[in-house]
Amino acid sequence: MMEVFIIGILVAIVKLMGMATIVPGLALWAFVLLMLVLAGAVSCFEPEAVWERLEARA
Amino acid sequence: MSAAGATALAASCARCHDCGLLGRMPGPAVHGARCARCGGALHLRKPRSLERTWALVIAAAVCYVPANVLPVMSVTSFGQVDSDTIFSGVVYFLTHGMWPLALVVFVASIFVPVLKLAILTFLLISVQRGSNWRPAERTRLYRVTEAIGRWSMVDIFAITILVALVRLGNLASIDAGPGAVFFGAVVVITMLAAESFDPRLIWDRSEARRS
Repeated sequence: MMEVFIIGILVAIVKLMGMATIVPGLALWAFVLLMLVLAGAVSCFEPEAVWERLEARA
Repeated sequence: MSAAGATALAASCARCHDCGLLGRMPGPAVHGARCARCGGALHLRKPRSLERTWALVIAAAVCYVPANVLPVMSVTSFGQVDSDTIFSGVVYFLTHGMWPLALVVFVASIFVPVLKLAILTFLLISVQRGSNWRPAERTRLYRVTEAIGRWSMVDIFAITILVALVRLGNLASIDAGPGAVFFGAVVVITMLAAESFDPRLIWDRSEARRS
């Protein structure tokens, strides 16, 4: 959902540009970075591996 | 046993939706079977999949009308109120020369919900009629609806941010309209509908014909 939210922010910013001056802050770039890192983390995570470890311990 | 191998249904095995463990079902139509590893509910096919999906698809189609007719957001600036529907938002971007963004909003907010409803309706009808037509392609269509569903939330997120940011009292303020609630409902309900549809039903008919 993170990448959808980023596009939502982009749409909101462009809509506001008609009414006011928008200066993107550092947090916006941090948020974009968060999206990329989170997407990477989700694609690396393998729930099956967690179950395997739990079963090996039991 | 067919050339493609036996199905889990024929072997009365079911894979747990929660942890992925393959479990053996005690009988063909059992309720209340539990996964041995995580305790999640086991079933050979999602229970009442067609009925549930139909109900959700119809509910989404009903909500789709007010979602597009009612204003999703109203902009008040210097006492003057402007209401925007989903479609007028697209037109706004087009008339201001921002066609890439117009395209993004059009695809996410208008094209994707219609496409999802159309694909789900087609899949439901084809499964109910026992169609044997291109099961692999129909499964791919289902995967597409599953993947694109959340992108419709773009407009809702944009409205959320605008409402939160523009709070300047009488000078300028943005409020969410009733259309936004219906639009959000359409997105959530179609996602639930895609979730409740069981793509294995597409294959059951061709398996039944083969054996």
